[in-house]
Amino acid sequence: MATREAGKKMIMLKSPDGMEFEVEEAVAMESQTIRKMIEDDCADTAILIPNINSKILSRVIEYCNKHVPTTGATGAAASDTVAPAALAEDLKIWDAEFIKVNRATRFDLIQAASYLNIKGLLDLTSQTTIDTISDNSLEEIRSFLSTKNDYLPEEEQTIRRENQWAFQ
Amino acid sequence: MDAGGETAAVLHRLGLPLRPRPTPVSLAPYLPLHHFSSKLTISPLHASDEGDDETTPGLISPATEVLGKDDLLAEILARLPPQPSLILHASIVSKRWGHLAASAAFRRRLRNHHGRPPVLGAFERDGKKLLFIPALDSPDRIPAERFSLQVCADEATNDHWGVLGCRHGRVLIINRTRCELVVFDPVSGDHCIVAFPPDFDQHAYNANGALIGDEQLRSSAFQLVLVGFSANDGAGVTAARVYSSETGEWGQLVAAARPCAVGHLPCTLIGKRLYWWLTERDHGILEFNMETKSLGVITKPSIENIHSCRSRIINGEDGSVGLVVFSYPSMQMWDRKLSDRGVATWVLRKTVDMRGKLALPSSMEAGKSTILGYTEDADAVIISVHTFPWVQNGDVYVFLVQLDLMQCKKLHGSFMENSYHPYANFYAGPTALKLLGRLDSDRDAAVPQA
Repeated sequence: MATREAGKKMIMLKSPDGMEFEVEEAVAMESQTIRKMIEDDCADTAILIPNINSKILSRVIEYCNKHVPTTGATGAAASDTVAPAALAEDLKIWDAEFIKVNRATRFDLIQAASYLNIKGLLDLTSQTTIDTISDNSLEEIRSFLSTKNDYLPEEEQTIRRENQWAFQ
Repeated sequence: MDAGGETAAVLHRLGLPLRPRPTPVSLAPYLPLHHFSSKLTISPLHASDEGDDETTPGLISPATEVLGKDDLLAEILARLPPQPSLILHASIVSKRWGHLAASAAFRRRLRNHHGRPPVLGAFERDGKKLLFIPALDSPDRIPAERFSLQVCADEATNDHWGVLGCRHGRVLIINRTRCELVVFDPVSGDHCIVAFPPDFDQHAYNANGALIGDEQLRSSAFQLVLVGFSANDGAGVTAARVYSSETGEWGQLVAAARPCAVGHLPCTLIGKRLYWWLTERDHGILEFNMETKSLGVITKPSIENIHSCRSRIINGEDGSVGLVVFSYPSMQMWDRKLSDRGVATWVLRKTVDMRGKLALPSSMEAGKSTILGYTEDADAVIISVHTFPWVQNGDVYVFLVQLDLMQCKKLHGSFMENSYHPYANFYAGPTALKLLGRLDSDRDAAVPQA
């Protein structure tokens, strides 16, 4: 149900496992997918998020809560006293803590961020994945990302040979 | 009313998937990820990263789920630093990664994520060959032969040709003997030839041109603009014509109000307008507007000493026409500002002392400085500082300078007093794609296994 608390419009998000999350509309609108639904007036009082379970959805909401701009129509601005640089630094530290999750959760978050179109979260989760794989050997990357090498040995050799300069 | 059901319908109307989308059909057969054993999903190598990994052996890991979708995998891979070797490494992780990394869609993602592409090197005319000089360090140093092109048909052929410039991933070559333009894509190795419109044949030696592709990499279509003297049924005019790769034809003649001679320096694209220096005698800059299809001359700034080898037309502030003038140790940037009444004035934006940035011996302060090339794609110039006269093995210092950040990188190689054409692009390993294509078709042709 849409309710109003202290002048803030609330919106209900439902996960497929039956959990309901009441969040401020501004927080939900960090997701461009949800924003579009609200702006197009397609959103009902409750929005079902079809393929994101409650555990992941709660993490996503946690992220959006932290990242929603503190100034705005609500007038509940507290950031006047905090310099933007300090605020950005605080967010960075918070993000670093937030992303300390196991691999399975991180991939679920990537999927959720992509589906809900939350650019900041997609950047954070994808970049963390890239940072993890950049420093590893090919075998480790394959193993880490559960990707099987389906090149035949001679195929891989041909590609390596033709691009020898890159595989030194 | 079940709000959930209604929302699901809304999502459906919006074209949003209610369930994870099935993996799009790839270009080549590859093993579906869910065939992989759970042993591969949990790696003892990464125990430290796992923490409380909840993946149950025997179940499909969320990792496979995410990586099974091409768009999500591409989204992650697009965050790789845009260095050729890293992208090539990713492309040999598996066939699917290889196809993905080589796709135009992936290059587009790289562009969206990283903005400007890296300068991979520079092209120069070297006798009968278009020579590539790599700018990156190993292992990203693309070998010269990988990107070079034999322009003259054979040793006996001695065509008069030159490089008109690089833009949007391609090199434009003019063959003045054969009255042809050659469009070369060094990444794919493909090149195509476009004959001059016949009215430009007589004055091929005074022609210049430009290639405009799609900066956003949405399509591979391109346009060519040829400027110079057109015979125009006897009444010679300075004119331009536009060729479209989509129609395969040259458009209508666009003539300038008065005759002038276009110089040989490469063109600069600013928004939808193209700029060429006129020859010293004609003293000005030729402007071709792609939208209004008009050709005109704008005045050159009255800056002392702006010899063509010391300056380049660049993208100025707020889409204006800019100019970079290099006279070691100073580098100046000018903008052509238009007043409300349309009166143009050249305004000095900044002067940078290059001594601290280039770290050259103090003896070089008496040296000669030149700008060897510019690329709008990366907003960078190649500059040189050298002892005078130019000596082949003497003190020659060549740098690539990123103009927005004023970052300088020393380039190695034998640079002569020549024109160099910086080439910026995302190199995503099409060699792998070509090889894969060949290998796949080889296998398809083989006797099917029982």
